[in-house]
Amino acid sequence: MPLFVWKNDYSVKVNAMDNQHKQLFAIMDKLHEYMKVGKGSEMLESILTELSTYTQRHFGDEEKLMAQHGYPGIEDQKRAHKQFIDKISEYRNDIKAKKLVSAVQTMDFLKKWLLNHIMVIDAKYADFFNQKGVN
Amino acid sequence: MAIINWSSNLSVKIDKIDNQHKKLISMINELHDAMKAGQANDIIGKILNDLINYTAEHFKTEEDLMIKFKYPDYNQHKIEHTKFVQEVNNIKKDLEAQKMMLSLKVMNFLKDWLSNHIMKSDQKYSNFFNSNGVN
Repeated sequence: MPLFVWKNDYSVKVNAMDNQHKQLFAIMDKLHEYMKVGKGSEMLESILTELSTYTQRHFGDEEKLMAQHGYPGIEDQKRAHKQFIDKISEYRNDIKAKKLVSAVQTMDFLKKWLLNHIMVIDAKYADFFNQKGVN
Repeated sequence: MAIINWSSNLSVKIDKIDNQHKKLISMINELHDAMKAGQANDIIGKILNDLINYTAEHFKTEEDLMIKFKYPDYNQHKIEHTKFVQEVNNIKKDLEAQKMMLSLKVMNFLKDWLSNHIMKSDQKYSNFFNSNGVN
């Protein structure tokens, strides 16, 4: 059963906006489902990409409507939207940074392996196997 | 440009194993090139999986030969292989754990957005838009 279900209580009484809000519920539900089966880490990046695409469209539409009708609270809304967008890009950068650390760790480790294992420990068996006729 | 080129001083004088070592070197070069191009984060997941698959095959080739010909340093060599697999798995697990934590953060952030933005700030515009004929 989905955890994040849109209800009438959430309605902002503007159909187009309600429909877009429903999409956010769907994204949250997807993330929750992945997390439940231990795939949250695997799917996180595609979820964040989806969120970033989603907000570009939804916040854009919302702000356009506000500007069109001279909604007095538009500046607060814009500020909140920007904070949301910034936060999502912060999460995306955070993953990139963590992956970069892993890449550097892997590279250091592989370089050491090449020098200490292949060139030293593996080299030791070359003559042994050659003498047994393996080459 | 490759960081490491295969050369005869890397040879263990057994063709099959040399070929497998060349494959490892090509993975190191692939990772290095991606790091240089600032794209390490795009391929580190694939590299870690490739390394796990690669070593499963390569270490088995080496160990089978060692068993067959009773290589005297077999036990020590096998310990080295185990350490390699552990190290790669550790890097992979660390990255996954960090992404898992991040997915929790994202989920909490979205829940907070739902209750503080959609259910509060957005509700404020309902009447405004409705009275402007938008619904």
